[in-house]
Amino acid sequence: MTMGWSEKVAKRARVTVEEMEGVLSKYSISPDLSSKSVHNMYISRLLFSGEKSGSIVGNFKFEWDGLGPGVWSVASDGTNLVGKSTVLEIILWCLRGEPKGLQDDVRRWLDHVELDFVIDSDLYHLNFDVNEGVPIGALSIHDKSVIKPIDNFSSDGGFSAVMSRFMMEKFDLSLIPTRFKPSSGKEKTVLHGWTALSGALYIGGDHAHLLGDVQMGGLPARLLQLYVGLPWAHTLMQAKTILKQLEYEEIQRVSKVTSRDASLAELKKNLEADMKVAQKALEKLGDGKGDLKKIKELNDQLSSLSKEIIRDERSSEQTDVSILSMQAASDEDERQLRNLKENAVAQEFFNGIAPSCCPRCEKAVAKEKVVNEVKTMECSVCTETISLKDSESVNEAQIVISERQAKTIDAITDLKNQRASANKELVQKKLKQTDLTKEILALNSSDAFEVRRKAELDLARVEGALARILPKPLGEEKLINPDLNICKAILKEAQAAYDEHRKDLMKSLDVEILEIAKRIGIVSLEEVQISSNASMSLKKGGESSSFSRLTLGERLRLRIATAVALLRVGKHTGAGRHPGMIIIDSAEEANETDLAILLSELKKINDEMDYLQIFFASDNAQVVMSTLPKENCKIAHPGSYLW
Amino acid sequence: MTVGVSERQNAIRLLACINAACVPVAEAAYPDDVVGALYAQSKLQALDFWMRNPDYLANELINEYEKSQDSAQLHLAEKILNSREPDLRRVPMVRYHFGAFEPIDNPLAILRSVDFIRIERTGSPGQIRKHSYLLKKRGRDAIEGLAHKSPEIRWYTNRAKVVAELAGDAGGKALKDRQYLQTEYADTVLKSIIAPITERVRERLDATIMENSK
Repeated sequence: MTMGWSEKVAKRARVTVEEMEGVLSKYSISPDLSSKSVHNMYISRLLFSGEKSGSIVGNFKFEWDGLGPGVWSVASDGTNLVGKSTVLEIILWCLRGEPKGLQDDVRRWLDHVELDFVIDSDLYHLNFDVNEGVPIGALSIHDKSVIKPIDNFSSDGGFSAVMSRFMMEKFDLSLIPTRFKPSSGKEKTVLHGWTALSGALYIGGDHAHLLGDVQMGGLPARLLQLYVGLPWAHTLMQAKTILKQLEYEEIQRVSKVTSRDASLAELKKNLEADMKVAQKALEKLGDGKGDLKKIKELNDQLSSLSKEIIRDERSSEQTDVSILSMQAASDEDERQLRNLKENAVAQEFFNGIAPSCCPRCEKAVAKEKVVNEVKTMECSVCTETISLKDSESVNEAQIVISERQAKTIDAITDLKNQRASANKELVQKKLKQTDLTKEILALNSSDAFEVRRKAELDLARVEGALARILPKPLGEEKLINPDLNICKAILKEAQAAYDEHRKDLMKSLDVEILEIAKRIGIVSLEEVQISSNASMSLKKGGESSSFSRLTLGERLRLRIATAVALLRVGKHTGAGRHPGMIIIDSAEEANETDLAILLSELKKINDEMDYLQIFFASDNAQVVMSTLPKENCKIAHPGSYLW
Repeated sequence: MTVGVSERQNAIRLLACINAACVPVAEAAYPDDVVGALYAQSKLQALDFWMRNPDYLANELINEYEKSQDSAQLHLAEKILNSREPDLRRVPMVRYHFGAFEPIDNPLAILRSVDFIRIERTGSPGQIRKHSYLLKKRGRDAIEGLAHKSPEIRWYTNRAKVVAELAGDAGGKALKDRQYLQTEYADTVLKSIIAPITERVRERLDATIMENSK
């Protein structure tokens, strides 16, 4: 039993069918599975009226009724500017909801426009007034002779929206998404609607492109695929666009992640550099043991110095005590010396005076007792022996004491000198003690400690910052959006399904184009090969050629051939979307024979197909009238206008 | 070899005091040769205390300066302290119940035996109420002559003048009370040597001089 398309995709993407369906729905990708019917359209009646102004004046009313499948022509007799193109342009304006090449002055002349058209078997009626070029009216449907409005409009935008919505829906057309990158700004998806799709209805101008009139974003290829109804072409196209979108988003995301990774790597690099700097700074500061050693040395110095100072102070105190006691001794000696002197004076004085009375009884001392004193050396008062200290012994005593005192004073001087120098040293030692204390204090509480601590903090901070970065593997967030993978699978399977059908279709298309092109006038054409991107390679007169190298007339015919071939193959496959109507403006066609062949062959082809409606503008009324039935033609005779 | 203060030195010092502090006497009451009288032993003892304790004297001079603003008093106090008199010239005294007291009978006996002074005692022996010291003319001549001849003795006569002037009319008890104002004196245990106040007086002097220079 063979797998269904959805199962194939799910298997390829290694997801469940439900997950795959979710992605299809999420991105509005529609698998080309349902069978669709081909729709057909033709115009049944055209009417427009108004008033000319400028060099030509007057009211006008143009009505073309009884239209249906077949070849219809507006023609003039060798002259232009008779209103042929206007008829075609008004039809295009009505169908597109947007004018294509309608001249502004003509648009302003218009008062009223009506277009009846049939899609499948339903009759639709477009009816609007034109006010200063602006369409105001409605689209309606004839339902059993009753006109039911479908939608109204009163502006260019509104008219465009009404017709676009209606046609897209009627022909089961999808917006054509293409990725488009403006000259400035981001790449984006642009949706092409009815205006672009309807380009395939009109064949005119300089025939620059094989299909449509917009070349950008691979639009011709899409038109080809859409109108020919290549099975899976639309799914493939959708998948491709969505994939591009997802890939673009992925690139954006990855580049974001990459740039984030890059900045993280940069940060890491910087932090590592910072860490090295911090480590160096810390190394330079050392482990702090140097400081401790120094502090210990200084403390030892301080301790021994303090002991010395205490010892010195004690010895200084002892010196002071010695000085004091010596001073006391010196003083004592001085007092004794004074006593010696004073006493000598007093003794000499009192000895020189004879006593007059007894201090006890106050009786007068007898004269003879006083005289006797010298002989007996007895006191005339108390009769005690008088001992006379001679002045020599006093002098001796004075000398002894004086010498002793002099020695004491010398000793005091020495001690004082000794104490002065000791004090001087002590002052120096105390200064050094202060210095040492300060130095130790500085080392203990110093900046060195602070600096070291700061350096350690710096390092810790950098390490912390690095640790916060490192555990996260770089690019962890590089996980791809899972939709991308599923979308790739969808694309692969859509491509496979598309490829399966495409070859046969394209071959049929080539055959049809070649046949029709030869019939309508490119007789020398030998081979046509249209690729799925709508580029055409061909062989003509034994030479390989390409669309752009053909003559204007040849390009016109190839475009017609291609449009008709699309219709025919589309009808055959039952997947074509072309409305079945072609508007050809070939005013430049000069060769009568060629034109006659083109028109007659178109008529034959049209007859074969019975669902094709062609509007053909020509300036060769003669050929037109001779080829087409009279009722199929609107002819502007010489000197007159079509309307 | 130690040489102490002799009784004769004491006698001369007391004689200088009596000479400086005695007041003239009424001619009728005493014989012609009495030139002055010093009443009360306590006054003599008080005068002698200032003679023997130059630090207390300097302190009293500062007191005097503060009362009179006479800068001569302050200068003398400064001179006493600067010449280290309290260390070199102190003759320590013992405190008794009624103040500084030194038995002065021996030196006074020397002065009496050569008839420089006479001593009047009121009351009965053993119950002496008052001593009056009468200076005789030969006593005054002797001390003044001796001072003239000997610079050592002149110090005593000069100092005795200062002390006598300080004491003025005040009696012995009043002087003793003034001397008692010094904590060291008042706190001295009975029969102990009265302590010096040199350091404190030096500080007071410095402070006073500092105050003056402002």
